[in-house]
Amino acid sequence: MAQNYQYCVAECWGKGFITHDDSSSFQISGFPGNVWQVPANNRKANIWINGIAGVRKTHPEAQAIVDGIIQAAQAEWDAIPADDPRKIQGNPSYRPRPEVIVLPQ
Amino acid sequence: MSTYKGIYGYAVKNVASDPSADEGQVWYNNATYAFKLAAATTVGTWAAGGNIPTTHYYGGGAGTQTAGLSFGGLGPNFTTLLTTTDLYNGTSWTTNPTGLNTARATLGGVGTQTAALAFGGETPANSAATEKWNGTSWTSNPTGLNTARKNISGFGNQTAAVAFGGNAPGNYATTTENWNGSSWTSNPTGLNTGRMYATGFGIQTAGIAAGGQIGPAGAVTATSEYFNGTSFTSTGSMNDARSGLAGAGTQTAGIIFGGSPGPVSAVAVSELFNGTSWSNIPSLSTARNGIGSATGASQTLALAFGGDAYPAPASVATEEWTGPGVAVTKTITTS
Repeated sequence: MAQNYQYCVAECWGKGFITHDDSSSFQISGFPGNVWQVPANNRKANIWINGIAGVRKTHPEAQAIVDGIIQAAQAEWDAIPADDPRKIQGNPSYRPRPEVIVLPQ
Repeated sequence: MSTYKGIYGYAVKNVASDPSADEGQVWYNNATYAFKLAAATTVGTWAAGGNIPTTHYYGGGAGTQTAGLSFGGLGPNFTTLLTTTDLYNGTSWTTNPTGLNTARATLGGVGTQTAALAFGGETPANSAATEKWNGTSWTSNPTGLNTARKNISGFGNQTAAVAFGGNAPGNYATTTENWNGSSWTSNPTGLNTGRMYATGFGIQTAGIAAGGQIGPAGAVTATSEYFNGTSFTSTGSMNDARSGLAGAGTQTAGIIFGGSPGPVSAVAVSELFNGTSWSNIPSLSTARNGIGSATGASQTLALAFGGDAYPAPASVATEEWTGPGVAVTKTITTS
């Protein structure tokens, strides 16, 4: 199956991590765990990954990283008492149980 | 063979870092070994800015892309109310030694980096507190909003602002108030659609209220309303209904970004407003709800920071928007 996207892990250090030149050349999307998604078979995206010292990940590897973050967040959410503001809908602190993110291929 | 110097009469400058350049300028960056060009974007782009030192969401904001201000909000554990005030210089953030006098989140914020206004919010009770920022510190105003509210929004500046909507007794407030620099006056007419977690931009006599939560279970709206200094009139609807979004600009040239399409989620969607209708533009790189904005920024040079990157933790990311027609640095490639 053809891959539309490729993934890498890198911590955003701030200014210069994603430039206007990068954004105008290809779409960059961030996911939990410092996972970044860019188009596959894209020369500028490849240069960007190298430039930020991104660690390339296969789709299953990237998915596993995101899953790990979500599962940890779910476990943390499950441990919160039911009367905590974070579990009371309508409160700005309210956060529903973190949902699974499926990374596109 | 023609040379650059032969054509233009001067050589390409050899520099160690990208300069602030006018459209059409070319230079060689000897740190990255690349020829660079200042060229206008056709659709606009988001780029990473300096990370904000205080992880937070649902805070207030003011200022511009190169002189931004962030204040208050909820801390990274989603329960701590903050007083923290951070200043952005176009490259990096610094935390001010002193913060808001009243710790709060979901507050309104307008003005500049040297003259801002913070109002309302939750402490966690509904707050009427109004504070003025002078570039160095916050001073509590003797009087506050007439209707204490959380999840409030507004537009204007430190001497002439409008506060609208929010969560007052009765929920999804239509209530609006005008600020004259020293006190709030309740407006006889309110929003057509009561809303909270909305965004606003513009000035006191020409503003826009957009999006927000309008009903139980997190129902959100795409509607926007136009304020003429006296009353609100419905105008074009956003393409993506959401709450917890942020905005900047003027009544005829606005920008919105981020938010949540449901009870709690996060989107990266961004849109421009031309005075009558909304159009989608490239999205933020990181989806965020309760995102911050330099509310005094323009449609062409906006600033987004912080926010809840649900289901990931709250974000420290800052993103800088450069709109269509504005020159940005591009790398010249030969293939």
